[in-house]
This record gives sequence, structure tokens and C-alpha cells, in this order.
Amino acid sequence: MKRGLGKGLRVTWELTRVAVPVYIIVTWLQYAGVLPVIAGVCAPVMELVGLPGEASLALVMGWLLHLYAAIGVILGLSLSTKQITIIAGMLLLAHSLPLETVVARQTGVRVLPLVALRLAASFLFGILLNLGW
Amino acid sequence: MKKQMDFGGFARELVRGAGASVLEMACFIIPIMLFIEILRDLNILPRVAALMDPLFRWFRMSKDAYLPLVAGIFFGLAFGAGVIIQAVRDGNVNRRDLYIVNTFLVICHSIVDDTILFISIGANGFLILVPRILLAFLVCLAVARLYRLIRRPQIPESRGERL
Repeated sequence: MKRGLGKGLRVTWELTRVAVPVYIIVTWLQYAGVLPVIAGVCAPVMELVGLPGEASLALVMGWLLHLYAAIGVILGLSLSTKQITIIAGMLLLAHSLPLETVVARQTGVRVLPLVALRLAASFLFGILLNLGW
Repeated sequence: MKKQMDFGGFARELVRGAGASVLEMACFIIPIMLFIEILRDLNILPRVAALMDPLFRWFRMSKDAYLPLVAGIFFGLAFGAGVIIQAVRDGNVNRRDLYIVNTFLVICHSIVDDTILFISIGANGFLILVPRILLAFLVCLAVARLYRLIRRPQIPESRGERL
């Protein structure tokens, strides 16, 4: 019971520590006019999954770092419920790739196919949900 | 695009957005963590693993691989990996089982806390959870059935056996 409470608080704190600075940076990027440039470059790909170009930043942060960083980005954007669901599903399928790949490798399997599988699944989910919603 | 950055708007958005979001997420995360830890203390994993037999039977793997799979699904990849390594050491989990469990877990792990995290920021819980589980299940089924074809015979099975 106590351990659970402690853990909950710790996760919340971790999330705050990571997501809030990311959120601040993203909001700043937006106000400073940098994010629209990144967004413009990524927009064609993101259109496939029904997300604005800005959301590519959340995906990349999620893939390379972890979900908390991605959530920080998502908080800084204004997405619809559909868009949040799409990006959430995509991120759940593929996140923290460097870290989780190391974890999986420790059990003794070849991990590259697994990473490819996750990314493919992620985009497949995004495309299908975008079409089907 | 404006040349001058709107600092007032920037600051207002930060305080309002960050504060509210953190509070909201905390309301979801703390209870769920409590719940997960209680489950862990009750030590119900072996029983859940046994319950999953009708489903996991499809993978035709050793029953010793059930526990790591269930552990990873609920408590996360790292925890699952720990249980896998333990199971390889003292059970008859073979390389094929390892691939099945790992394939399932990379697609679908920590299904309670990660899902809640995204629900707390407004995602549809059903749509981010159910397709994920289905996909993990289908891909694993494919791996289980096609393992003989995918496996490259020239690669020695050293890694799995050394563990």
C-alpha cells in the first residue's frame, strides 16, 4: 500500500520532471516560430496518420527517449481526441526504442526485427485508425 | 509569422497548461500505481498465468514461459525480462518460447499504467488498448507457427542457451 503510493508519487514526479521542461520547450518553439518549420517538413508523412506536422516531434521524442517526453510534447500541442488517440496508440506500440531494445536483448533474442515490427505496427495502427474513425 | 514573440501568451499558456496537466495525470497515476502494487503483493501472477492457458495454448510453448509473459504484460518489459531470464535459468524455456514472449512483450507491455497515462491526457482507452493486445496476439501466433521458417539455421543458438 505504502509502496504503491510512493511509486505513484515517484512516477508523477518523474513525469513532471520530464514532461514539463519538454512542454515548456515545445511551447517556446511554437511561439518562436521554429516548430512550424519542422512541422512543414514532416507534414506529408504525418498526414497519412491524420496528425499535424508538429506531432512528429512527439513521435520522435517517444521513440528515442520515452513516453513521458512524448507526453510533454503532446501537452504543448492542441490535438483533438481522435488525434490524441492515434498518437497514443502509435506511441504505445513503439517507444523508448533504445532502452527497451537493450532490455529485450538481455533475454537473448535478435532485436532488430522486433524494432522494425514495432515501427511498422505503429504506423499501421495510425493509418488504420485515421481511416476508420 | 509575428516577429516579436508573444511573451505574455507564452507564460500564461505554460502556467495554465503545465499545472493543470500534471494534476490531472497525478489523479490517474497514483491510484493505478497503488492498485498495481497491491496486485503484486497479493502474488496473483501465477494464478493469472494459469488462467491464460486457453489463450496461450495457441502459441504451443512451454508453460514455464507463461509467467514471464503475464509479468511483462502487466508490470512492464523490464520486469518481464527479469522473470524471463530467471525462467530460462531454471526451466525449460527454449529459444522459440523466448521469441514468442519477447515479440508479445515489445508490442504489448505495461498495459495498465501506460494506457492510463494516455487516458489521462484524453485518449480513447479502448482504442489504444484492445488493438494493441489483438495485434500482439496475432503477430505472436504467426511467430509461433512460422518459427521454423524464420529461424536461420546457420546462426548457432548460443545466446539463449548460455543464459
